[in-house]
Amino acid sequence: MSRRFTAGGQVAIVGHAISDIRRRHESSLGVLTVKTCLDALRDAGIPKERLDGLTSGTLLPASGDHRIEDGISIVTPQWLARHLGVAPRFCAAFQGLGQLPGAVMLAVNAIAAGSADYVLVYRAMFNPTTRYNESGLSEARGEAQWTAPHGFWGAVNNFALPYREYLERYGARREAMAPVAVEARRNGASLPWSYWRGKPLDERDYLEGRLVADPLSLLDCDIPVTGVGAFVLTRADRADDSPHRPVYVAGYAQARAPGPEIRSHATLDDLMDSCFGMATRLWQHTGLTADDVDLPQLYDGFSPFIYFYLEGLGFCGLGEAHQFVQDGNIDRDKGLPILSGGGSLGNGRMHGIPQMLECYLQLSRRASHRQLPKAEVGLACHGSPSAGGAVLYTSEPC
Amino acid sequence: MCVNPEPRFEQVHVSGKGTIRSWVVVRTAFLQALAGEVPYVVAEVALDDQPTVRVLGQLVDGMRQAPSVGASVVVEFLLVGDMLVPAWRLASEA
Repeated sequence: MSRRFTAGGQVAIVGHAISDIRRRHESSLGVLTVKTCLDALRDAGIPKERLDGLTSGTLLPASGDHRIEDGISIVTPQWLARHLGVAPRFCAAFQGLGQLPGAVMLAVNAIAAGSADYVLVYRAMFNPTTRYNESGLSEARGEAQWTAPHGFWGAVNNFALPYREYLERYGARREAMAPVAVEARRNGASLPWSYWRGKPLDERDYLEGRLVADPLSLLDCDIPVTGVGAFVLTRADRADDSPHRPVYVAGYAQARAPGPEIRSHATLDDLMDSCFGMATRLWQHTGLTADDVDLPQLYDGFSPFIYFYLEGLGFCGLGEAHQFVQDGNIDRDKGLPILSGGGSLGNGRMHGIPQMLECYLQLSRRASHRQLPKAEVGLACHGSPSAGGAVLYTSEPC
Repeated sequence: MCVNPEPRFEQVHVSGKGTIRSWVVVRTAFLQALAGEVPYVVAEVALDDQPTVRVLGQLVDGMRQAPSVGASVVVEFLLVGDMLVPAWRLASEA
């Protein structure tokens, strides 16, 4: 049985919009989402009446005690359809992790199957006024009973553990991560929509970052923000009428958690096994390999993910990523442009939007002064390598 | 691989000895209940009796005695509220 994706190259991105990324906006998240999605439709030259699909993810990725309210802290496709005044044939929110690749997968499958002709893929991120990850929990139930009473809570602690394992196993130093944070912020600083616009970071600043869950400092974690990104997808044959050069979806893959064993926390081996599995399926899906990708936009919500993705996807050898980044190999001008779009560390916690946006802008040759000379195959990752997803894009239908 | 939808868990005694695989130094308490405790170390420990089982627990005196991968630890129980919660102590200190 072939594992090739038969809809590869049949669906394309034809327009986009991104809101200002800020800590907080004056308007509600719902209003910001409506405005951004209308901008995306305008950019694609698609009248609202032709929009017949909406997909997204609605996770608020915080471990603090926050009230979830549609239109305020999250925006579901159903809420958005009602407030856009459209009645889509296809409306779905992805429930797993790696929410943006998940939403793209739903959209691509719907379009290829004929469930919808024009789909808005959007992601609305909210930064609550209460502390993002802080919890007043006084009783731990379910899985948390094995971690919270031990003083272990939330994603920051969870990913500090495999990062420590990495440092110890490969003799890497914390300082080796500086080029990752510096490259993300250098690129983010040049983006007018970024929270970090005009604010690059130097190595010394990085090394002085406050340790939160040692070995992770505040500067190893993306900053919580409010913002919206949106894309319009349609069938490749309809994309020919688009005002902009279409960018085609070659295929995608999701990471699977390993084994049926009960897990309370992430280990380095689990993370890497999941990432290797995802890479294998991604290359099988598309017939492409790491060598074909000239724009791998890796996910950096926590900086060590860059090491895990570089090694797991095969852009460098196992245990070599810390040396790879120190040797100047991720410089957008001289090396592999893995953070040319600023990533999460250079934009704010936009959950995969910066990676997908950079693939779209570079492959459609709309990146203006930032345009890379060669950008034909882009990879947009999102999520932890243990539970995320990745989508491959091409500038020509493959 | 066959996944049993009705696993029959069995309680077995273990020695309480283990080996550190990883750790995190918690400097910001995301749990308000532990705000007065920071900084502290949470160690991930593989049980010597069954190394595929890894148990998280505070490393008692972890801020004074630096942890390392492979270090032997023994279990100790901390009173958290009205519950006893497993924690670890370096075997060399016990």
